[in-house]
Amino acid sequence: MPSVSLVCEGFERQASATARGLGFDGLPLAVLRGHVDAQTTDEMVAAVLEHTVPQVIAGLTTAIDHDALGDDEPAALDVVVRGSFDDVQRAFVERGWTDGLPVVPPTRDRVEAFIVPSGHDPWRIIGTARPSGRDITVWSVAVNGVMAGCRPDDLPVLLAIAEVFADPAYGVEHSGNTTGADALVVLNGPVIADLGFHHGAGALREGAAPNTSVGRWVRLFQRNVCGFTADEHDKGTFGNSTRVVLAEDEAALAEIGWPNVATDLGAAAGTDAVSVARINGGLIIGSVFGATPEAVLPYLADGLVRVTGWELTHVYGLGQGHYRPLLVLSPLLARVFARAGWSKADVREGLFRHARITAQRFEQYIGEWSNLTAGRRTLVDLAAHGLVPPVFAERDDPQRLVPIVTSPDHFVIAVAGDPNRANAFVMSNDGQHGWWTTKPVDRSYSADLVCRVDDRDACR
Amino acid sequence: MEPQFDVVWPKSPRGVQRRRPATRLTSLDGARVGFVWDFMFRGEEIFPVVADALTARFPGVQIVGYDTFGNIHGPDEVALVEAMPGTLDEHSIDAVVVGNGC
Repeated sequence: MPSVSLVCEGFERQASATARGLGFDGLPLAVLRGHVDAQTTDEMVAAVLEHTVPQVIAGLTTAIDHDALGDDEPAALDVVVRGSFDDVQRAFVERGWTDGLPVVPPTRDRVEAFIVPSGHDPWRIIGTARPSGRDITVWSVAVNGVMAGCRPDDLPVLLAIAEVFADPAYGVEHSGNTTGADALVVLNGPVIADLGFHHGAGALREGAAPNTSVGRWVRLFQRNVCGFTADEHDKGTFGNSTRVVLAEDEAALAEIGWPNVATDLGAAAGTDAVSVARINGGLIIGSVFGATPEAVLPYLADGLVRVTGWELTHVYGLGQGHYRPLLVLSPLLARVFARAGWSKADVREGLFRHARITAQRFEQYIGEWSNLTAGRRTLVDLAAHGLVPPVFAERDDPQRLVPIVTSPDHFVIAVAGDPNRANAFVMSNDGQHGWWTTKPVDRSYSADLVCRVDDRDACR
Repeated sequence: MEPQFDVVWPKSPRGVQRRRPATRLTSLDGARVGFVWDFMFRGEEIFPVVADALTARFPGVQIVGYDTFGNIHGPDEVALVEAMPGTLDEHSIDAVVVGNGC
């Protein structure tokens, strides 16, 4: 069916790349000049009539020369650069294949050596990378793993993250949205100790090789395979820096009897898993003072409120019950709760009671200061239609306090960082534009490669 | 002699097959044009302007408004988009204007 897509000026390249990723090269666009959010009504209407409407008509009635559209790209094993270390770095920067830092040259030998110990078939397709439409293969995961400085032992972790990106529930195609959130990987299970991931002081800072290189891989993979470069799908107005992998302090969790993040999100207890979400930003809750849950809870809740603004459109608007912020507690702070007999669920209930803002401010975020909730509906109206829980409309006083999430379970709580400091960190997530998704890390040997190369029949 | 490196491509082949675009209409006169919206970026103001302009130029055009098709970027995005071809058929739509990517 003929279609034409309305896009604001500056989105033409991204729109065309997205269409190509869906198999529709050359899909017609009709451009809205400027950005509609910054125009008066008269300016907007004039621009639509003068510029956009003629493109709508042309897009629906002008033939597309499909045969003229080509796609001449290398094959996976083609040598794309031959030269010195410096030559390789220069070429990769020029072609947009790096994050701006030098990479380990991904020679075929090095990539094969990266894969062989795990036995995976390099050409196994894990899924489709959106919005690029490229195949997510073990090979493509490994090439970028080599470039990032990962170890062959890290491959199962990388493959698990790749499975998250292939899962439609995560929504990797949103990773170039203008608000510019970036993926955070939370790692859980025995794999942390076995592979030397760091969970102590400086847990969210570059420095520990496994955490840093796997975090870097996320950025390189999203650039090269998913297509998030300025030339294609990245429209982040500012973006975030690459995030290192957050490994939880599993020993501290075991000591206080709390489940880890992966278990909270559905993984089997005691297993290796990654949990990934896109994070808009974060802030430190410093020097938390108090020896009881009642003393420290208000400050932690205040941090969650302060990190939350536009994200409330994921409570209703862009999403519906899709805001799930992350609270990272130092082990010392987690013990304040645990020694008083508080479970993680108790902490979440406490946060749900304390992390509140006025209904008026909530409605300003979703329908006045931003324009993402069509119709500027009130929380009372939304609750009456069952679109938010009744707790958002217990009264109609605009100064009443309402929660920032729709359920206590929507607070994600991790334990990591310096074990002896009373600090916490909070992060706001980008709703279903990178929805919390957990996948197991399978470190067992795969017979795929043997089956493929040596004896296919033996493996049926 | 500096070491030389033969490096492979860090991207991956496109697995999505190219599809031939639909044949365009010869005219919008008599066509049923559906408006499909992500409920963002002032579509409630823009689509009526487009509708009026199309109707003025093509008196026989029939506009089917965005409320018929739901919010394609809301909580039900995945299911709604998957069902969209059937929804468009159900309403005998001949062409679609979709927005807004901003």
